[in-house]
Amino acid sequence: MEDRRRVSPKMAMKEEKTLIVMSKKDPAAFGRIYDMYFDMIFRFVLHRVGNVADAEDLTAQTFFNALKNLWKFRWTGISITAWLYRIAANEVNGFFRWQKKKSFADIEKLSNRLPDKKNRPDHELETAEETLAQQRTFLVLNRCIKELKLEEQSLITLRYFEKKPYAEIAKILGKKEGTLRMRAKRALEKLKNQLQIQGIDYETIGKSSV
Amino acid sequence: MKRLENLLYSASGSEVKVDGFKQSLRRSLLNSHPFRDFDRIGYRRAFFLSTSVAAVLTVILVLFIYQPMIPERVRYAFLSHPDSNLQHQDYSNFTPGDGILSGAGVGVQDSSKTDRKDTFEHMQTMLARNIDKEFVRYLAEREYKTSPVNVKPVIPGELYSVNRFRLNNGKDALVYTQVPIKQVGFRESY
Repeated sequence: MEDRRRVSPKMAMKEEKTLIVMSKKDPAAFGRIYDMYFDMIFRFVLHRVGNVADAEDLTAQTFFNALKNLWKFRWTGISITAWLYRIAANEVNGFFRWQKKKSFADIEKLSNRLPDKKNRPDHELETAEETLAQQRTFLVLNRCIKELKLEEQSLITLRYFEKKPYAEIAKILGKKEGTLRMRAKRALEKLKNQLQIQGIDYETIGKSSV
Repeated sequence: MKRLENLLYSASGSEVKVDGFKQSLRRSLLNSHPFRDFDRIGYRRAFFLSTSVAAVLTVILVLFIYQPMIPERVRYAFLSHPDSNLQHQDYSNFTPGDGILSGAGVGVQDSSKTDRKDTFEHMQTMLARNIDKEFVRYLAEREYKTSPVNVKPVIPGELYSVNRFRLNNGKDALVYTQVPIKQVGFRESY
């Protein structure tokens, strides 16, 4: 499945190249890149972490890293999206590794960012999390996907949630297409097992999703 | 497996909107970074500049290896000025016996500065020889004031004039020319 919002080929690549060159010196040009790709990156990060607050933090981290390392970016014919996705995936993977090192008690404290509804300053965040909470199917699947290896999580997220073709995923993850197809198949097997372990019938949860 | 794939395709958190966060992050990004000129010189320009400098230095090095006299020539050119004792002169206007060269100051050996020890190291001209002769006469007349004396070597030795020439290959050639005593007309002195 193709992402309908993806920009079309040659002209867009030319414009993108020009934009990247300009963005190294001109804030307005970088602002345009941000506007073009924010939704895409935020969505990917949200699909990975399943939490709006963490997704916001990690998205911010992604773009700050991108801005910091923009001077290193050299146009090689590959879209900047692959580069941004790679940064985002690394940020999320680093976040999960950091979480594993923490105790369960710490994780509970960290995940409970807004303990008291009355003290929540960010109404938008609250609304977003409530919206996300309603997407039960996604949250269930996300919980099981997190049991997979980090690279498999990225692969599943990019392929099924972001609906990226294998060719593009290959550029993002730096792997061959054939390898990715095989790994995706294995990851789905593992996911299926996870759902069974957790007593979730994926054939029925799809029907009951909001 | 197909059902699981379809389920994954359909499940999505894409309905979540965070426009406020998006705008505030945008502001933070554009304000926080100085957007200094990363490529002040430009990496391409820097590469070509450094490569050019390295190439020029390599050419100079190779030139010095194949033409070792070039540095000496350059040094000689810088040192060539009227006050220099190493000045190479054109003798085309010199008439033997004049004792005076046109364009004075060339190779002039002031009698007071004549050093017998450095005879063969100095640039000897006909004028220098005459001056030496005058100097000896002076010394002789100092002791024998009452009578004029003719100066000639007591010990019949040899006289040489030394001329230094610059060759086209950058090397210097010292030419020692023996001056026959008879031509000068020396006589015995007492």
